[in-house]
Amino acid sequence: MEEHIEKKLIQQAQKGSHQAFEKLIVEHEQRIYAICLRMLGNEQEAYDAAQEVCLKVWRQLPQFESHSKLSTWLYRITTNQCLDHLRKQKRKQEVSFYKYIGEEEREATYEETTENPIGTYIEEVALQDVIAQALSQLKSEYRILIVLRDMQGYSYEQISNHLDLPVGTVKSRISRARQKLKKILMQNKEPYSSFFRQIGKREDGL
Amino acid sequence: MRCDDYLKELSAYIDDELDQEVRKTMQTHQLQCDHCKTMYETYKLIQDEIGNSNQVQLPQTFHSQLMGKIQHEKQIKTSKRNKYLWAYTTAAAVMLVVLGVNQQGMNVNQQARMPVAPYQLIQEEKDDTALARATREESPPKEERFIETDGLVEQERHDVSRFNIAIEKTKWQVETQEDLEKLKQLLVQLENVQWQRIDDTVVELNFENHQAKNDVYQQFQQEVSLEQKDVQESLVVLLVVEAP
Repeated sequence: MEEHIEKKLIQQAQKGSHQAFEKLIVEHEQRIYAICLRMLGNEQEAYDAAQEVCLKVWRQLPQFESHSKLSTWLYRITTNQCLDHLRKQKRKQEVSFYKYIGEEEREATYEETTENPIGTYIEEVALQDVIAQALSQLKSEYRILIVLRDMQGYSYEQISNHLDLPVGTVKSRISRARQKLKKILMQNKEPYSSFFRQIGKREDGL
Repeated sequence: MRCDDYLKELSAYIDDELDQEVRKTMQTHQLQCDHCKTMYETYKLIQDEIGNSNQVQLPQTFHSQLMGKIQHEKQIKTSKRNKYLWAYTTAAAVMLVVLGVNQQGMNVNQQARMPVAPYQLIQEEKDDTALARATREESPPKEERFIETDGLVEQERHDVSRFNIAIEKTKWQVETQEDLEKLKQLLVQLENVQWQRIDDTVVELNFENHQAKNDVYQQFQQEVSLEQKDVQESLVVLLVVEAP
């Protein structure tokens, strides 16, 4: 979305126009949901959290100051929502697992383009599922760091400020999180076999 | 650089969080060591896949459910705002009845303390009521009896008797359902008395002089209990004597 259009829509939404808000949120809701899904590792919880995030965006939009970027602001709300959720969850000592996205749903939403041949698409979706499942097996404190870094692209310093951790701790924890994630993915068992084979081939080729 | 050192820094390397010198050493090592190069590619693949979240499909109901919730919130907000506006207007109106009779006698400082907005609201919202009329006109100077205070609305609503000013005002609350019904009947039967319902629970009666007010008051006393207690449904009657 062009910047001046976004700015105008923000102003209208701040005055209470839900049509303007709809145009803004439709650009971001998929990513908000994706972040929640990766961070929380559970479809239902991600759905509820993402709904809550979007409602918070609507409620807090009048306080949003347009000199900062809308996307940065709302992904920060998303991260905070997920962190709050995980903190509460930790207190409840609950463990949740990622569930697969239904095959029919994937096929129904797929649109073939010349840049994205169907073979590559299926392969990518399969790999996405495998990684998502592996991610959900990580402890939440590791998962948060991976999502903040790899999905949201925050620097170590930004993560350090956000989570109130020293930069050195962020660095070492991300490194440990990656090692653990790789270890999960490299298991020669379902559903990780496809990833194992893909990497195994490379290692065989040494 | 040894492989151990390379692997220790690998995570920060793919995140581009190393200083230039270490980064160069990493690059050199990677060119010479196939094992570390494969490790780099593996980590990079995982990172790219996590970053590539475009394949996550938004559930079909998500957007419509969200917009439904927002519509609902908007409606609640609007109805609440209207409710507060009404309560505010009513409170302001009652306050101005009490203060209005004194307006002409106020000095400049006192006038400056009068809230402007509620007065305008009354003009817009309740211009047709006798209440508004009473606030703006019919106000002889009685400066010496004016009680200065802040938070006028709050105090007026909780303790009418503090504003012992130009008008005589009696707040009267019935205590039982039976008395409430009796009082309603009495109100209907009243002749030559100007009265109006301010809201669901407050009725204001306006009298031209004390005698007229006392006549009605005595009539009410004979029929209805005066003692004030907590009752679920009650009616507050304000007996107001307007200054001539």
